[in-house]
Amino acid sequence: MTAPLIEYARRGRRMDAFPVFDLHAHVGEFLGMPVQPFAGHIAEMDRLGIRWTAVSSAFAIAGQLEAGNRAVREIVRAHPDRVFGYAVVSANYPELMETELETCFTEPGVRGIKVYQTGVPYDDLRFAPAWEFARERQAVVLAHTWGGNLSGLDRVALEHPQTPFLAAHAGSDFAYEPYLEAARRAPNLYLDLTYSREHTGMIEHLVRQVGADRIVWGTDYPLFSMAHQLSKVLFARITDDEKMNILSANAIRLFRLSP
Amino acid sequence: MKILDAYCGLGPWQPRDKLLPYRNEDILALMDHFGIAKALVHANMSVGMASALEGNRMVGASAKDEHRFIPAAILNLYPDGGADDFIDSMRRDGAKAAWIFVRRNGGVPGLWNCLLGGYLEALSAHRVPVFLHADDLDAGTLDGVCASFPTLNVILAGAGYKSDSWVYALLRKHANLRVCLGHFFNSPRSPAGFVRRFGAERLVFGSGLPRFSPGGLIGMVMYADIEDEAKSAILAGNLERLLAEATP
Repeated sequence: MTAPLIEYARRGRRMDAFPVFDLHAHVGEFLGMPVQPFAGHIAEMDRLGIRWTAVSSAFAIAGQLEAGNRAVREIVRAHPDRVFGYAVVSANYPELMETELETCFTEPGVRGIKVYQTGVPYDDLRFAPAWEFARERQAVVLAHTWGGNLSGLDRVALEHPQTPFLAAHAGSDFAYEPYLEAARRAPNLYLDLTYSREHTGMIEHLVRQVGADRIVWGTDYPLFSMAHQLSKVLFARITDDEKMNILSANAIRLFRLSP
Repeated sequence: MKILDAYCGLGPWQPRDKLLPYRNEDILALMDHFGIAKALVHANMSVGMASALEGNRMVGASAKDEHRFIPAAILNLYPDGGADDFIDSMRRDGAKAAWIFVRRNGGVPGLWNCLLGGYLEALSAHRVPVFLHADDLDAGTLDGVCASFPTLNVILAGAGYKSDSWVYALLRKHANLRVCLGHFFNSPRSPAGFVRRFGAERLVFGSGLPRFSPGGLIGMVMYADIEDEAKSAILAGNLERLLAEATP
């Protein structure tokens, strides 16, 4: 690295120190916000120096599983060197779960499963086919969590030790202890920093407690500013090696890429 | 680039998480890390539970010892004097701006006119910028305040990434309204989209320290696809201008 990473954020300099991987982003409309062509997403990644992204469909999260996942497959196919996909499944639509997973994973760029808190705990039996599929395909599981409520993700992670489970929005509402407890118990549970706010000292505390190799990073784009999410890690009072693990190395390992 | 933080609390408060700093020296060390030259400071304890007057005095005393702190006074909505007393206390404490946490300081947003009318009139006359927090009012209250006091410099803090629809509508309607970046006004179109619509002069950098860390917001401005002049205005110039006008 040629300059301390904090200097990139201080100067608004494009990241070129290592390939940055945003493993929590979306395609499609959220909250009525206008949808932009995906080219705009790529353009923003280019502007900031983000090499890869992994996306799930907002439409699928809202319940339109087939159409949303289809859109993700098309985007992944169109950008094979930049974009990875998550197949969204829901325990409220168990009849679609295995078909959607099989269909989505025919696309080589689909490497993860995205699940959301929709009233069914993650350790409910209705999710079992998804966890079995993740184990067989060595897929990453990105699970929405909020405010210290992991909805059983910690128990699922313990039951499926070969599968990496990413707890999204770790530390949201400043409820960081449940995430730390879960990560200490399950070595395959990772803490995803994607979060609209930035509590003072929290990134530093998470790194101290579980190590930077257990923390991953995403933007939630197009909900939040990519630059905001990137800068909070670049400004964190941790070492540059730890920042590199969070912004790049961990995701590269989890998505089985060559750096 | 010079950075002036519009939204920074000092001192202890309840409830506080163990990770959060509260001593002046710890806040100054964070300001150094993030490259923040000066901060407009208010008393953490007075955002809700404790007397605003005591908190304002404490902040005024801190600023006498530390030139990087610029005091802001919190208006207590329990009756402890009228508008003239509040302006006098601002003068005594060296305060250059006012915060009104309507709900948390004991008020009812729907009654803003009878609760705050006299104060807002005085603050407008003295060109004192007034910070209002989105958690403490609704859009209708903000609309009413801006419309009733068109020369009052109103700065909305605490707007979030989902707030663009109603915040933009009020910005179009009221030239005296500005927005503080304040800890999560971080939608993908901010700040470049904001500047394109309303100009850089209506956006003010504020971090939300000590609860919230400034890094993401500073980087968001520095990475924004806007002119350096606009970045400089957002990070410092706009607030400096507002404070220079204030004559409490």
